[in-house]
Amino acid sequence: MTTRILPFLALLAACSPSAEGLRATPQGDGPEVVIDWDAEPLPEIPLPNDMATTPDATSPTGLRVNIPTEATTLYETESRLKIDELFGWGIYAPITVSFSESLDVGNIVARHPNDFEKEDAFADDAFYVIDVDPDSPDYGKPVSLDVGHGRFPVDAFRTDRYFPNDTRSASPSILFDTVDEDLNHNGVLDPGEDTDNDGILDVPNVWPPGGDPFEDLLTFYDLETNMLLFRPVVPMREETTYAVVLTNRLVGESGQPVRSPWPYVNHTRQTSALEPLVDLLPDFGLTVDDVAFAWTFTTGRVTGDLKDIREGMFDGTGPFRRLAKDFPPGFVEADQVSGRSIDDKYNFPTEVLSSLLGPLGLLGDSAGEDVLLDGMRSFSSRLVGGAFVTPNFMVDTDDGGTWDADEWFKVDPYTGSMAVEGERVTFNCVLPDPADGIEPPYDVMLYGHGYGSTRLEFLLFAPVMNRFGLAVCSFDFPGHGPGVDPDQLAEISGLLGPLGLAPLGFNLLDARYRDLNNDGVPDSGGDQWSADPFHTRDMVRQAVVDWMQVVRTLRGCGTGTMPLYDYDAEGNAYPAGGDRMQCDWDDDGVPDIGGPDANLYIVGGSLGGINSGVAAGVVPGITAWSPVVPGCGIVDVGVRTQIGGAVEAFIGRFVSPLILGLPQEDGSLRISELVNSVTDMVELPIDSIGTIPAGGTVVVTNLETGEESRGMIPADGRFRVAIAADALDAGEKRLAVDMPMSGPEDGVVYSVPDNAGLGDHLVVELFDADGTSVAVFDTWGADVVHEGVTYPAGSPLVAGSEGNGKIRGSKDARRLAQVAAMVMEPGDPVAYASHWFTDPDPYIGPQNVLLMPTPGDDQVPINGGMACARIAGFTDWHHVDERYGMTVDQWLIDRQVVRGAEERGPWRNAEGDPVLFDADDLDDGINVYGEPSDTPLRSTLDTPAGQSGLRLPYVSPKGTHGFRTPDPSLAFDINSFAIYQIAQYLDTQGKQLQDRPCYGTGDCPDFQAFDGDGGAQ
Amino acid sequence: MSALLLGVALGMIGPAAAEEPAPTAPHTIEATFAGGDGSVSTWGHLRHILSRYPDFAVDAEGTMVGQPWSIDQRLRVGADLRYTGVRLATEWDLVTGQIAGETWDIPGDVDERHREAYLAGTPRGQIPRRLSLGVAIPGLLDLEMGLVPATTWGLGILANGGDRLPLFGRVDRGDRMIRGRFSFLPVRNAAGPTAPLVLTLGFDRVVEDDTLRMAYGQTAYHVIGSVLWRDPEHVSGGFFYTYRTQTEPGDAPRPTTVHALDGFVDAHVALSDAWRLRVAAEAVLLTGRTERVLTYADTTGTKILSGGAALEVEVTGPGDWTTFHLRSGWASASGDPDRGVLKDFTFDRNYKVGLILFDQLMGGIEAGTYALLDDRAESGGPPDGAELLVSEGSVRRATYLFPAVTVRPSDWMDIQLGYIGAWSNGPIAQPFYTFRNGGSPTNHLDQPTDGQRYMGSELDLSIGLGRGAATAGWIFRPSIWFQGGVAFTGEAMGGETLAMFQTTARVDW
Repeated sequence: MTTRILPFLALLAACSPSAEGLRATPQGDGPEVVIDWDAEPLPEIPLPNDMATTPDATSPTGLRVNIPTEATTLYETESRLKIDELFGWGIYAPITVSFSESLDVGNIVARHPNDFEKEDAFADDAFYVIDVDPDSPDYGKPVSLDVGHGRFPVDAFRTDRYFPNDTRSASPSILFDTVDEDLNHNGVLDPGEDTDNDGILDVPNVWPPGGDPFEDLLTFYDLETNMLLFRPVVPMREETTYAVVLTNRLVGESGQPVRSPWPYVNHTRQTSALEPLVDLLPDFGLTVDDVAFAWTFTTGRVTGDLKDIREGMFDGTGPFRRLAKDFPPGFVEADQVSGRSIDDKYNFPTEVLSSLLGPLGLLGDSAGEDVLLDGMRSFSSRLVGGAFVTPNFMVDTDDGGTWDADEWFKVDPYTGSMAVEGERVTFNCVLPDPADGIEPPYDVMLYGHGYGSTRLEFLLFAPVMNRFGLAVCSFDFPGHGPGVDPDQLAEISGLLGPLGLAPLGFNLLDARYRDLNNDGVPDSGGDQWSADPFHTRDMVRQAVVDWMQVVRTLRGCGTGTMPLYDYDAEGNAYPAGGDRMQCDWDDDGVPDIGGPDANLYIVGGSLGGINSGVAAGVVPGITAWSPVVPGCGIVDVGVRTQIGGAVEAFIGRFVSPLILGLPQEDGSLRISELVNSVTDMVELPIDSIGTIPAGGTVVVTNLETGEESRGMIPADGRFRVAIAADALDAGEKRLAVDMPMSGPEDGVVYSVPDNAGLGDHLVVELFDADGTSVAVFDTWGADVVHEGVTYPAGSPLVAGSEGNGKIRGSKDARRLAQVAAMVMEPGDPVAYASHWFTDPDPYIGPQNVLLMPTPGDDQVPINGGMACARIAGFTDWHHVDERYGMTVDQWLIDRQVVRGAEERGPWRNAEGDPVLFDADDLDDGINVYGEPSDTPLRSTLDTPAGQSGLRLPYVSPKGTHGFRTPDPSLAFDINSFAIYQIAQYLDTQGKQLQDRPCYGTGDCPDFQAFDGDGGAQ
Repeated sequence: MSALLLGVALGMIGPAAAEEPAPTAPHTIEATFAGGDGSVSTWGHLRHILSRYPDFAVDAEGTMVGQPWSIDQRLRVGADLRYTGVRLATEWDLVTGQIAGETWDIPGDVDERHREAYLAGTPRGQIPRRLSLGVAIPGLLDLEMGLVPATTWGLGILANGGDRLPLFGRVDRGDRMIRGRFSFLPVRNAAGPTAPLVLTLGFDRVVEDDTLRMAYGQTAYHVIGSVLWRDPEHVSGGFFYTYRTQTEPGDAPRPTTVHALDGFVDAHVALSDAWRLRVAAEAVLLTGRTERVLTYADTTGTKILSGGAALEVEVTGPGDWTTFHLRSGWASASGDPDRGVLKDFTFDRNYKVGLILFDQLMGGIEAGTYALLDDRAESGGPPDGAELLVSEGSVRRATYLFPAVTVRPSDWMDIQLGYIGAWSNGPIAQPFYTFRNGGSPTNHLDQPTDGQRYMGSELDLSIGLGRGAATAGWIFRPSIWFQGGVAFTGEAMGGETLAMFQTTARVDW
């Protein structure tokens, strides 16, 4: 009987064959794709990758990122927990895959030229990214990939920007190493060679070998880790599945194709998603048998949250529909802006204001000050102010309402749950002087200010915009306010108080900033750009939500009332009794601004440019936009910028805590801890030793995590060792030491016994060249005060602030950039620019956008602005432009406009000084600075909504971050040109983008003339 | 996630009883109450199990079961009050759980037998099994409502109350539900029923079964209907159908809907005056859809299409001195779990097949797998539904052949000898390592297993003493049962020899 049954059993057992891949991995000995699930700090797999996701019915994509959350520090664990909330991968972030052996880089270069203008551009590529989502409009299409083509420069504008004792301070990038550590060329990391203390024998990441680190920096391949990195030229579709296909054309140095580490060329989990390749690959002259390795990734929900919030606010529909009811539009205050010397304390005459601005220094000391003040006197009438309540999604949820600098949007489109509370936001407007055709209610230009700045920036734009009949309004972005230190505050009070104008000061200082480092002084924008990509992302998104609320409010002008508020002697607003019609500050029965038919415009500069770049893809009811010096790809911007504060907050947190050796003049060596504190790097002296143990070793141990970092001590003693550590943030410190919310009180020492809980306990031990321990530091040598808390002498040495403790130029740095870029996309214009007019969001339709990066910008590096241009559709990379004999995209790369670093470019003026290329030649050949130019680009596109365009005002041959106040002394005032170009573009409601030379002087014949005495003619 | 076997457990849905329950006989006191006759019955048992377990690696990280021995305890007490056709009944498992020995080393607490903890003295060791009210009109209908343990249907591969002694091994718990049931005998004349045909309709709110714990916030309801021909002396058989709908706690209900169709037949034939033959078989088909377990092929839901079958043949010789058994079973398996159809079928956890291969080895590997999936150093969290991996050693994805013989040298002694051979119906693939290896079948030791299906074999021996106490009419009936086994696992399962010994001491009343 058994003999009969067993075959039957075998038959049953054979019913369920194993899962299979696209094809079995062929024999070979080429480089193997690295899959190391146990790698630290995170598994080493090709990324992005749906292998690192889990199916989730509550996710719009059906997937949710799922990476290990156990990390060395709580700081990193918290970051990973948030990453695991994402619904998929990035649409613009780098795609990476590592190999067991070196690839033939020359082969990649040859197969992946920047030739997208050719019909057969993909014919012989070595790897592909293909849309394999059957529901996608782009199903079956390959993604254009940048493989070192120049769209993504990574060289920093200041290479020595990354803190003391940086052995890579001359290396161009923080993402790649360019130092050859193999001094004796034996291929082994010998003692003394590991100058960056990363434990790896670094090789210059340049191509061809021996090339110049700046000019030949290899950005698509890391020679150290055999990692291939490539980028989509423009963002991919969100919520879409893509296949990455490595073909057998991708070979190692031996010429052998790369190989899968598995029995199949793909993970069998992804076989069904990859099956469309069977039909799609022949389009590229390939079959499945040419696939060496393949994987899939699904892009996440990027723009969806803001769209859902929008529909909740405007229509009361969607998952967040309660927003419309919970946060009704309307100004909740009309604020006092003047005191006893002015008749109507809710309307401040700009004539008086113009007389104050100069002494206050709010217009700087440029030569254009008079121009602006003349304009204000001629075209402006009143300054008004008030407040609205915005749905604040950054509400504190974990620190008792005391600290929101670590918050992020907690919204769930599946359940409709959201953490949101109302936040009072103050604003101001400068209204135009009535004139022919200029009468209330005025159209409104909403201005978005820059990083760390304040809404008061709008005063610079007010005169010009008022000249065109536009009221100019602005509010502080989240966490921002006037950067006024106590001395300036005293100066302002001294000026305004005697004039009875203290309420003006109170109103203008009534802002959203708060003290983030426990020094008692508000830190404007201190948490705008941070190492927490979730918080940073949502600082942008919150600003966009604020704009939505303002738009709703402005549409309601003339309906309902706004209560009057005055300021008490401490500057607190209180109900004064009475009210006025919404937006009718002068109480004449006609709203001053807005209304259902008003044209609303948004112009933003720098941070405002970034925020408006996001908003232009999602905020309804705006007639035209002008993002000035924006950046698409915030991380691409972040790795190059030298902007103060952001580098410290972002990169500083990543590389710290740092233990530094700082030689003193007396020959001793001071040992310090360098940590991040909001926008600063702060040195916390630990102790000193009398002599430098040159050639020795420093070992830093984190007793909490057990991790140890080692570094060599050079002859000059300037060592630098990073170690990951946890520590309380400033808000947590405040709670731990019971510090008042207003900051530390004078004379009070705030401390915790034995520094318990303030930070990870560290030990620093120095060894001399013989390996003999010469010093151990596990306590502070003297009292140290950090973020308001005193670490007493003799108390345990702890980390002052939390940080990743990573090393620049490392794989970790690249991974951070990759992940941070992905996380930030929902708050990055990169995800919205294609929806301005090329692929418009149906809810808002095509928008009119004047995009205005400035050449050579090193604050929001110009490559970010040019990425916006490319994504929006201003710069074509598919068709040859007859003017240039190449694509515009290539032309801009070749002319170094995208890179924007004049000292590394080929262009020289007559004096031989390096200058930037002037792509738009807006001065029509005047060439103020002797700059080279060509046939002007001046990209202008007709769209169903009007016209949109890209303009590149050439402000300086060395580059600038935006344009400046007008400068009549210039032969051609590009600053005046730029602002008038924007103004008239708005005045035409985004229908006409003109390049009139008269913008340079502001004296176009059809403009209102200056009257010089405070009233328009 | 090849082993995310939803269908398995949908089975705890017994309609009317197909077999007599438990070897426990109630101790009854007849009484006369005002207004009529009634009775109070009590029953119960105290059970201790001393186990000596095999030790083996449950993963390639070196995690061992690490539980050399344990003593488990269960005190089951029950009582009912009958009064003129009305029955009020209650039953509890008290101080139930491990009381001595060592807990196992496998991380986590997903094991429902909770071998990681001493539960007897904790609230989780006090389990209400029945609190029900019944109304019966003898020979016509029977109504029951309240908390009840599931009644075992057929052979119990789907619905199993945990109330049958297995050939080898142990049973614990049993499924519980809040049930409203209506059964009646439709074939009748004025004198009463003329055929043993029972129709049952019912509705359940599930309290606990293989795939659900109401205490965890899970919710499941059954609508059940059955047709049962109940003639235990000759042929019994029937069908039941269950519609189950289940939701999970949390923001997303992740609903599951399943249709279960189960049929069985149990025939007794006298081969001669001395020899008797029993042939029993049960087959189950599950279809439905779930969002509790999702696959990459369809992240909106997963189809369920699975089935299982069991066969039991017994030939009993003169005087019940010897019984020859042949048991076999089959549980369907998914070859490619990511194709959007769950085909894996799991027998009810209380349908036991041997001591070691399933109950110990597979149970340990499953718990070890879940521990890896739940390790935050490996991932952000286990996939939804991963807890279903842990069946505590049920027959799953497998085919087995289980011949055995029972010898009863006296009324007080049973000796049993059995052999089990088992084959996997799908690739032998531990989900965690298989995933890491690109989806190619890989076992719990991170070794490729492609093409291998042989799970292993097992030889079991048991000696039971005390059966005669029941026939002797003792109120307190002591028994003791010694069991031992040795398993030879297939190469794909580690290629080890595992031995186990277990003693069960029990007093029933």
